[in-house]
Amino acid sequence: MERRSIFIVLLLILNTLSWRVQAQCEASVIEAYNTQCLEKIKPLGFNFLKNYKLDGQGGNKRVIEVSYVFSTGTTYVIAVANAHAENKGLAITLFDAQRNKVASSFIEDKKVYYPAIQLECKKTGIYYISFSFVDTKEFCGGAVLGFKR
Amino acid sequence: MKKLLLSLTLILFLFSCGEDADPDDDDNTTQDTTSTDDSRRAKLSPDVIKGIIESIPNPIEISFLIKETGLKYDPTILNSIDKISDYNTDYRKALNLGVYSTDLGYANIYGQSQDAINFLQGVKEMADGLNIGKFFDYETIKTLASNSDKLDELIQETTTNLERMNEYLQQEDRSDMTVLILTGAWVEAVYLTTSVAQKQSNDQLNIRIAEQKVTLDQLSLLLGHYETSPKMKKLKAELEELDQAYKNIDVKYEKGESKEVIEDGILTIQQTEVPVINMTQEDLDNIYQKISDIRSQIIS
Repeated sequence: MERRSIFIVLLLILNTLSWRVQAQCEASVIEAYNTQCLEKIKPLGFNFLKNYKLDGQGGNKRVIEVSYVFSTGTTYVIAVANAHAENKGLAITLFDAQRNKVASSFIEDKKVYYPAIQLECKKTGIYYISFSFVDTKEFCGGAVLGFKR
Repeated sequence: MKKLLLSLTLILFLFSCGEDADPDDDDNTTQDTTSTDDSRRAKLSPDVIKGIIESIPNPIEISFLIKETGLKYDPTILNSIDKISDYNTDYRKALNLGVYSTDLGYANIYGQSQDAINFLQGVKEMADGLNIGKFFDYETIKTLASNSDKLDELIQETTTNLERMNEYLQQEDRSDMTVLILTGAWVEAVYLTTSVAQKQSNDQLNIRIAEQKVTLDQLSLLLGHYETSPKMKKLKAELEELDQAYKNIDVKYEKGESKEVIEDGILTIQQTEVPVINMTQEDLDNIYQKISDIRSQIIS
């Protein structure tokens, strides 16, 4: 009986450990994703502004939100990258200062994920950029904010 | 045997409880970082501070705008690197790290290699003085600064290095230094913009100056969190005086419908609002006077 209990506990430990390994989102991996984002936006003439590390902590953090002051007359781009070439499972949603939704990179009815959102800004203010892990078990990614005049 | 079982269960418990949040809670952890009421000000959590810090725009945007107006490079409006040794407290080092980083960006954009290298030295010495020099790859940036066709890499490298410094400061519970770096950088950027606008009026620059009220509010909120420090309190009071110079300025946007199009495979939002800025020359002069005064206190 005791042996069986030990076996069950060991099995649970192994299961927990393997989940934690899967949940890890190493800095070097995120950095590689950030580089991929940069490679997407550079040919379009954007200048680099910020890196974002999207560590979903193994699913404990499914939404990561940041904010930035966007200025009139400037075009901004937010690009994301994860383990999927099509960015499946990683969505960007942009909100204005009043928390009105401006755009989302995930078109739910078509299940399409755009790799980036571009905003031709005509209204200065704080914008909220929300990164969401959607229907996925991979909670790791990178994002970059860029701008051009 | 019971002890063994107990130990194993304890290990399992520790691993299971390692994460600190409920997934459902985290789904709704978006925090309003714009509120400025006193009750919130007293309770800014590290996450909120981090959020506001991240929202402050990079001064490099303003340098691009200045260059786009067609105005020539003007080294006389930049800080002197001869003053480096005068900045002998952490407070002054942090503020002037910000000032030099803005000047560095301005010189870089205009391809002024020698000035850029000088400001790079300024940034490095301030960073070394704050024990964050290890995050600033001086040699790489210097090489890029000497190479006129590597502007995008130079900006990326410089910005990433500054990002790492700020990240480290926040990890080390030194966010006050980050706030000072950002304040110094912003003050210098607004000073450069208003100085240029004083010499040659330009609608784009004027709009950008008027819209700085948004960032000014964010910085005041951050500085308010550190008001127990007399220096930070004084700096905040200076920014509040600058805020007074903005009191008659009215920024409105004529409503427009946003359009969604796909450009280069990217979802593109085309806003159509039109800014309507009500700002007199006197308002501009007042902002210029006050920002010059604040900047002078920082760099003297």
